[in-house]
Amino acid sequence: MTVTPLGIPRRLLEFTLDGEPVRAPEGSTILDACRAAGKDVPTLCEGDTLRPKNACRVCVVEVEGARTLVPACSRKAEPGMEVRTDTERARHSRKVVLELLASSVDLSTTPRVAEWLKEYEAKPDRFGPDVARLNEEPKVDNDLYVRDYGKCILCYKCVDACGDQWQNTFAISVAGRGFDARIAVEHDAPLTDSACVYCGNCVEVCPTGALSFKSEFDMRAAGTWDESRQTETTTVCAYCGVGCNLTLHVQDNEIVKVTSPHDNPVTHGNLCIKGRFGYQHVQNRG
Amino acid sequence: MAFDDSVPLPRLLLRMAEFFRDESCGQCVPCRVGTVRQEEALHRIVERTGADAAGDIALLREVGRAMRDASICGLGQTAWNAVESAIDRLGAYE
Ligand code: SF4
Ligand code: SF4
Ligand code: SF4
Ligand code: FES
Repeated sequence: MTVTPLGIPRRLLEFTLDGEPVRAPEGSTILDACRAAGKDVPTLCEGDTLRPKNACRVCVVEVEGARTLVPACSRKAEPGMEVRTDTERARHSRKVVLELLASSVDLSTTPRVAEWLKEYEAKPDRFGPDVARLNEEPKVDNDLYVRDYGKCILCYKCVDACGDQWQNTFAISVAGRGFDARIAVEHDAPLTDSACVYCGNCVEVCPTGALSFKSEFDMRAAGTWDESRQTETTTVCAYCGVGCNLTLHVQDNEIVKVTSPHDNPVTHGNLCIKGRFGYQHVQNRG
Repeated sequence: MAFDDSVPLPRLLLRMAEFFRDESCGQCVPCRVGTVRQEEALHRIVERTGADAAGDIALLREVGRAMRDASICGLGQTAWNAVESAIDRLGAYE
């Protein structure tokens, strides 16, 4: 990163976090303050480059005087607030939310979920063996990335990244309602018949692996995907003068996926099709 | 709406649970999946009482509490109210 974000100095406000007085810059969320204080609150739909959608509710905390629990990822800290992150009440909702998700969605590629299920003593099996699940077949309709909506938690991040928060392509949206809601392109067409420009900015923010590079999807299917054998090298995209940062994930001397640093002050993890998917020439040894 | 006591409560509760599952917009997890799990549990115990229903009633209480505490809007927050009061005040499933 070559630009130091200056920002306007913000006033500090004081509130109580788990009984301890804390100070946080005005405008911070409860989650910001929790992280600054070293508290680990689970999150799924929150994204560091996106506005909070507060849809998953796994980050709920207790605020003195509030009728319901509040999502830490989107509720702003206020002076004098009394916040408790680890009460029986908050932990109960987190546990049930994790159970509801794990009993209906394939979370096998969602980072940290296994750890949280253990920490909250969640037992997704207790709803019984025949409960409704998403059961979506992976959509493999192009050579660049796969949409496996059996793994989708409907966090809205891909929709927001594709829409007005970053890409402004509006290729995907939530279709349907309730348990039948799914992410889809217009008329549920194949991606190749949609407005998608294959920037992969939805893949960048997807927290579950529902969206993944075709290369990753194929390697997982073949059992050869092994993150412990991968290196990550951040470099500069050679295609145009914007010079976006690319992080090349390499396994066995092959690029297996491309991400982009979220803290880049210009691009915030976003790329175009060339930087994201146009790396084959680098390893064309024929 | 008024019902006399010839109407079996479990079936009435199932109908209400179906309504809430149907009306859930699907935005937040506690309501989107919670209303489905609630309806499934009520299905299982529609013909059961006492000890045979106890396990599912405990499950309903746990899911209901999370829906009330963690859903975004009033629909999810109240999706378990009728079931709770039928169990606690009218002795459904006893
Ligand atoms: S690849 Fe880009 S354009 Fe296509 S759906 Fe994803 S964010 Fe939208
Ligand atoms: S596909 Fe991924 S990013 Fe999109 S809603 Fe599902 S889990 Fe979230
Ligand atoms: S509680 Fe409200 S916002 Fe959440 S899924 Fe239900 S209807 Fe939608
Ligand atoms: S992380 Fe806060 S509601 Fe999803």
